[in-house]
Amino acid sequence: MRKYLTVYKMGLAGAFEYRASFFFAFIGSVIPLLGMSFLWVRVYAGGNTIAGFTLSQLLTYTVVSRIVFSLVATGIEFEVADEIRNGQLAKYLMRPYSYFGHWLATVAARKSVYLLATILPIGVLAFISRTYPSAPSVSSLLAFIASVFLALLLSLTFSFILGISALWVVESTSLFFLADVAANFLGGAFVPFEVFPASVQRLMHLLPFKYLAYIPLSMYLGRLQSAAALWALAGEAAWVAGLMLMSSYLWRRGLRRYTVEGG
Amino acid sequence: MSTSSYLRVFRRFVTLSLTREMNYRVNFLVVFLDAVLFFVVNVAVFSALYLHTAEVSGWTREQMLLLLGTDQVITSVSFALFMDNLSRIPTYVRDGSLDLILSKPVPSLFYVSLARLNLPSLANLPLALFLSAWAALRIGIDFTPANVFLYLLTLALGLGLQFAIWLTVMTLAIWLVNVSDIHELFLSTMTLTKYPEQVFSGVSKVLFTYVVPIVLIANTPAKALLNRLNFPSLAEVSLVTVAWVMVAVAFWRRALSHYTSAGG
Repeated sequence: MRKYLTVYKMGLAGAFEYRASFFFAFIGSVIPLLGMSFLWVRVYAGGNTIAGFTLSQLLTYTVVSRIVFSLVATGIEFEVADEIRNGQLAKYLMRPYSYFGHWLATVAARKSVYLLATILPIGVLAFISRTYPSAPSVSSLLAFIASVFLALLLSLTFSFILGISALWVVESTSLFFLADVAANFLGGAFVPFEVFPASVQRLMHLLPFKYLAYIPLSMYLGRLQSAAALWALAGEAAWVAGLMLMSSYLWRRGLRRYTVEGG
Repeated sequence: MSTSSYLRVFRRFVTLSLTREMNYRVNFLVVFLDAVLFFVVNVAVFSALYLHTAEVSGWTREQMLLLLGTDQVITSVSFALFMDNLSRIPTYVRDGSLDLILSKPVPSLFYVSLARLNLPSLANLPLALFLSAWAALRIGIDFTPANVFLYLLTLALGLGLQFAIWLTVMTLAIWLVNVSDIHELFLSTMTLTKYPEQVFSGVSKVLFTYVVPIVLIANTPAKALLNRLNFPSLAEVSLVTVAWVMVAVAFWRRALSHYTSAGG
């Protein structure tokens, strides 16, 4: 455990260097929401309602889902694939901790800084300007936090699996962008599932991407409560466990193929 | 340089970019798939919105898709032309390769704007044209030489305006050295061009129609095809575009006169 704490501390120092970039990247991910939000305002101005969402809930969904998605997205698939291709991976194989554990600690460090660099200022701004997005109840908030935490693990494991696909496929980087767009859409990062036709919703509910935005947001807005919320958390934990097992299996298989030329 | 030599150099830029791209042929396919997926997602989200309302600020579903298609046409072309060029200006400044560019016989602005084309971005273009044409036919627009010409003209104006704003943002690099963050902000702001101008109000309206008029980029050609563009607004958009281009070019020149090499 101490080893990983050290990796975490190193990660903190590294991430802290980029705190301004985190902030800009965050602002950059929030700007596109303006258009969608303005659109919703106009739709509601015409006296429409959507799947029982009030305008304020829908705007909350639009903004908070983006925050959640950017918080749980790790982007480590690019770095993992790079380290496999350029031989850096060999360095980690000789260290006394697991490669997955290394990323777990590093991502934990980055996300700590991310929280400080982005969510704290937003919280302060929201407090000063007295605009709270539809305040959830305490139990909703707890379920929300738990599900965001699990979503981070889910997304980290998913990214790790994508990254180690470089052990088999030479050029996989471009596929990562594809996976990102798909995860955004299928995760409900743009609009809640309820906006889509029932058949599309059924498909979205079958896939694990829903945990990256839609499920946490449903908890935040109090649309998913008590037993249903607990079941959702259990399902999320099961997906995390399943993906972790799969990643460790693939990792062991993949390593057998791994060769480094030169040194 | 004469027009014909500009064309000759541009052809060379195309050949070189194509050669570079051929090293990563798989990339073409993936970028194409990426474009298709992105496109489908956009169309899906907008269409889903219209399951719940008949119109938004006077725009029906087909009109909105025409705007989306038009926006993608401009985005596709401008990304192909400028994405790997204007975004590199900070790099040119940082690593001193701007020195090399300045010593070339080609005008530096021409070189930094067009030398490295991102041809896979064009993968999006057929889809975008198809969506625009499909939406236009559904609306029942009669294609006449006049409105097709007006559409192409306003597309060109939109492209020019986007170029000018982009160049201005990247020219800041000459002073600020690290503006990669600002470039990210620029790109995410550009995602707002696909929305109807009517949805913006208050501060955002002033900001995006007057201060940094990105809303005009795609709305103007869409309005032209929808027969909603009168002469005064066409004249206004033309003037705004010409003014932005002139200011952007003047700003670039001024930046160059302040540029002192990073060594190398």
